[in-house]
Amino acid sequence: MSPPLNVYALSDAPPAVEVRGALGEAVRAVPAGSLLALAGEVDHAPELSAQAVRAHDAVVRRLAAACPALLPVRFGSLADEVDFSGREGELLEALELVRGREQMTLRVYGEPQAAERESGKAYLESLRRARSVPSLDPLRAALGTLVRAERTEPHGGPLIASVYHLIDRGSAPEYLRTLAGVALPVRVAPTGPWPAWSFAPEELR
Amino acid sequence: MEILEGADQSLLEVIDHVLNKGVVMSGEVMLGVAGVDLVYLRLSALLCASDRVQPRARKK
Repeated sequence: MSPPLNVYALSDAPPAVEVRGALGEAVRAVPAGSLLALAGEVDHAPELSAQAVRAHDAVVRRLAAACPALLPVRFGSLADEVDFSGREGELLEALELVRGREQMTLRVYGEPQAAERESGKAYLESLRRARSVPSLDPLRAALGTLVRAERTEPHGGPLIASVYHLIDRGSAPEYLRTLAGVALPVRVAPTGPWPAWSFAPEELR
Repeated sequence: MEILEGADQSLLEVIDHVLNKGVVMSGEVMLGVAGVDLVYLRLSALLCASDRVQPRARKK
């Protein structure tokens, strides 16, 4: 049996340059249908530590720099073999979406809104509103087509939501300048650019 | 977990992306780490805590 693979990312073409993995191993492009799993051969699962997490992040960043279309894979994804049958279509679509793009992450802090409990309809509507993070509408208007796609993740508590914006690679400075110039009713803490961590198909996140 | 003891916001952001996001491969794939749920919980608590800390720090 071949050694297990520590999978860092998925792509549709091999990296333009040789990339080393978290343990210094060569990262290979392992074919899986029309996709490639970018993975290193390892003999055990990575131990969870700050250093290992930073190392995984660094490998994904190096791979993203060497691949126009790249979907990061979560830390600790060990596989004996890679098979995406049944998921290929949506993964290829996601790769098209992120091609030439990168991600900005916004942590949105403010007053949490309690979910409406008066009726089922009101409850669902309040969930929908929480998911759409309407307090960011002025920012959305200012950013316009700088944002190619958005994902949101509502949280409870003072961290009301995380919002992920997919932007063209290289447009982060313009994104941040625009953000700094918009008055919002909530506090927003941006980080990025990141590889497109939050733009995998929903069922695979 | 000692890695979450400090208030290193950039490390927390890296952890949230690397452990909490990205493609999850089902079936033949296993998570090679223990206590991951614990990490998520504490990360979320710390991200919230930073909200309470930072505005106060600014007023000083």
